[in-house]
Amino acid sequence: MTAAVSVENATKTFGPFTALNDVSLEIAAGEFIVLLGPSGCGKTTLLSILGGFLSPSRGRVLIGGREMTNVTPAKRPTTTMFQDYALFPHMKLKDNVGFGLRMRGMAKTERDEKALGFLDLVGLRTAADKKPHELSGGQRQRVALARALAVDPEVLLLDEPLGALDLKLRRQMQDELKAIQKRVGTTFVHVTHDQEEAMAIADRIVVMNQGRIEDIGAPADIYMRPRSLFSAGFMGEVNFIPGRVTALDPTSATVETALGTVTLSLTAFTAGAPIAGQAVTFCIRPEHFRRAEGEQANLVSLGQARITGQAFFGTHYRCHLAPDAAPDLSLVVHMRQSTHVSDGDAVPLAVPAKDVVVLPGTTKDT
Amino acid sequence: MLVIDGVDVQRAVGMDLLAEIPADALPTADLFPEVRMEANNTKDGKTYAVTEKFGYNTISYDKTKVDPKDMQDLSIIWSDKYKGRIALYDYYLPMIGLVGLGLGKKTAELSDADMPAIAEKLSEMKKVSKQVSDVVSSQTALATGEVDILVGGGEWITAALSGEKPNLDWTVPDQGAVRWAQSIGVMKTSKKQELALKFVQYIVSPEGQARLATSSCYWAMPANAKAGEHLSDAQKAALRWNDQAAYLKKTQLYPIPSAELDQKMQDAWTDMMQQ
Amino acid sequence: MFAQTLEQTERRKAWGFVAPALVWTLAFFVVPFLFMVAMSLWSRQSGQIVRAWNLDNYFAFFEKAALFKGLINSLEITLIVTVLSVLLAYPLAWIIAERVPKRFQRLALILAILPFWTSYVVRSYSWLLVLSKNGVVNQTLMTIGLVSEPLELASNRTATVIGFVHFFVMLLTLTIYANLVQLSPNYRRAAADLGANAFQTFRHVILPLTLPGIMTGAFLTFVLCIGDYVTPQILGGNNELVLPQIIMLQLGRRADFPMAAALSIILMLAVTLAYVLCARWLKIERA
Repeated sequence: MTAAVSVENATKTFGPFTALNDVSLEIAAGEFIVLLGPSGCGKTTLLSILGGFLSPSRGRVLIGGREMTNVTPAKRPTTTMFQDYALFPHMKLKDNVGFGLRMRGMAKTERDEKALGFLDLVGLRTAADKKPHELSGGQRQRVALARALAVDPEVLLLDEPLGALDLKLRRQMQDELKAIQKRVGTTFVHVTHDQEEAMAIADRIVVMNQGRIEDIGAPADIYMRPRSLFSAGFMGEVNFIPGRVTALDPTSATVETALGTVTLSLTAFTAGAPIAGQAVTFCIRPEHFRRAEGEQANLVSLGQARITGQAFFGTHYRCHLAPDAAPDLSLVVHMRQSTHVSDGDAVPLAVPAKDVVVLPGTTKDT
Repeated sequence: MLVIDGVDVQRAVGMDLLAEIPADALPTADLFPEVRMEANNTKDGKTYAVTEKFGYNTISYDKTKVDPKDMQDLSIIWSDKYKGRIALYDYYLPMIGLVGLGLGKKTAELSDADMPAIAEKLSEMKKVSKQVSDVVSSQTALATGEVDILVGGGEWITAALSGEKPNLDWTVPDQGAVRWAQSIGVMKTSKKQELALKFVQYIVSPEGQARLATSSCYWAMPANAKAGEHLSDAQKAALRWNDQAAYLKKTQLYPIPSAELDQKMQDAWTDMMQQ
Repeated sequence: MFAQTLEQTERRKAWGFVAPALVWTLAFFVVPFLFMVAMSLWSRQSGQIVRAWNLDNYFAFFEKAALFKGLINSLEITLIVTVLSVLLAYPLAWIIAERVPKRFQRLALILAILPFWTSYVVRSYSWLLVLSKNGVVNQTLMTIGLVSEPLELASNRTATVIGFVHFFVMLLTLTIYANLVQLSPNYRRAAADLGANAFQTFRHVILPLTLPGIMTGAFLTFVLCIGDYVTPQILGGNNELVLPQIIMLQLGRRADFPMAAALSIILMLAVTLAYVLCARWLKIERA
């Protein structure tokens, strides 16, 4: 089963603290949504409001078009997979997975059969008679998933389900989660603070900060075309170069930066059209820099820079560069593994115009 | 100085613990004849101890709640009349002595053959009682009105309370009751023999006797018949001083069973409590 | 050669660490216990302890109704007390853990265990007064007209049970509270999320997960209750004797140490049995 979820102007306050600040979000049925952000950003509060463990101070929640704002967790078409899994330690795996069915009054044989089916889905059918303490962390996580899915929820809510696993296992489980979500078709809302995990599994990522949504979009969009400085910074390494809009015309804008004056198409301004005189920030990913070898179309020149440090990362060299025009501005640049790189080398820096994102404000604001 | 149960003096003398007391140092003639107890306090014509106080295990009661006339008949302790209002003092020796007296048996002559009849009466007594309890609980129960009769009680339970609880009284029934006595002597090892003897003399003097008998939280009978001169009227009434001559005649000492009979008595008492 | 020497040194060191505990256990538990076992096989005849080995004391226990009934009384009273204490302590612990705000929980616990601070004997005598014919309970019942005659509450099994339960509810409240607060709140959320109502959550999740706390407390209650002499002595009115009272009779009245030793070992067996039964439950592992 699956359903669309609609959050309208949800606000949650705890005393003077605003955990969630006027958040609206539309999730399509069958979508895999990841709520991404640092701790305290409101992602878990939003998940709890979807699950019915918290009521919003203002705003409402609809699931499958039905009003759910004040419906108890038991009566919602949602189930939650908890961060600590909350597997019942005194029950066998099949009884854990069958618990929701038992609460719905399903007879033992039928629910055991169904529980075994879901244990099969997560590859633990043979462990059905074990108890949770006999399992590894990854296995427990799968049982928790099976238990949450066993009651055929329309929406599955996952609260940092992979947080307790080591990195390798986490990557493996990400793939499994994604695969299982595709098979069952249920809407997944998944909370994490790990942007790689978010990119690996999400259909769309919701980047949250300080109780607000900073950015929503497919992983590639969020990464390549972030719509906020926070989102740009949170999604991976990025170079911020401050500047000021000096001239505007209908299709482009001219921005003055420490590395020179650059004219860019308005499409680079992802957060909205620029205003003359506005303070802005260039966001350039390390892997987007190029060597300016001759005059090339659509390549923005950023002047000469000198390598001040470098390390080999396998797929590339990660280098620190100090631009001649602004030696205090340390840039992180990825250079091809085939290039010869050594400290003190002078590099003519450039970046394809399409890869530059310009956002209003300065990094000091965030 | 040694204060010792009257029946144990001979053992203490046997263990050579007590010093001889010159016979003329003690007012033996002033003691009630029944409590002089020469057989206990002397050996081979020499005096080692003197009875300093005595008392009864008999019936204490609340005279505002029971008919004092009923208390004159010992069989009241197993009668239905005051069912559930009786406490039994938890000490098998005097209690079995009392039951024996109720059955017309002398305490000194109790034997194995008497035990079945006594066990039966113990059982009847238990049925009509509310509790079997130690000194504190018994006294508390009687004082708070939890029970109206305490079998095994006596002046030592009620007399001290006579001021604040004038409703409490005691008596010796017509069949008699059990009597205990306590002696005092001087330790042979005492380094101050003279001073110790002086103290003993004071204790058994009429004045010392009157003060001793009414001093502690449990009163007792002065062994010296002349102590009456130093007792107030209220104290005399509480102690039933004027009845002493008659009471002493009616009462008998604790049974002194053989080890085997003692076991049987204890078994009978335990059995009673478990019923 | 060198490795072996090292191993020997290590082994000697290990014994060095273990030895104090071992000596302690031997001196203060094993030796006295063996002495008690030996004592229980002797007998007391004609005022003397006869050091001839036999099982007469144990046979006597089963033959003399008054002695055997002591064990039965002990077991009955202990079971009643344990069950009642659990039934009363659980809601109290739950209210403190779940309904009392966090910062007041410590205070609530202290209030709950306040009676622990008074002497055991004083508390028992106090109960005697409270439960007596003219005590607070009967006076209150009669004033509000619930009863016309005072109830027989003191000097019987009811009084003993009340005295015990008052004490052990505190103990069980502590063990159950400790168990409740260490449960992840997500268990309850998960159960509710999967469709369980409040009762089902309690029945299927919270109760089984607090069994260790219940059983720990119940076992302690059992041990302390079955071995106690003071409460039944003061509150029971000697209308029936529990095993510890009978043991005291052997010691205080008869100086029959062999019989007392035998009865004590029987009491120990009862406690051991209780432990074996409880241990089964205490095995529940936590994830």
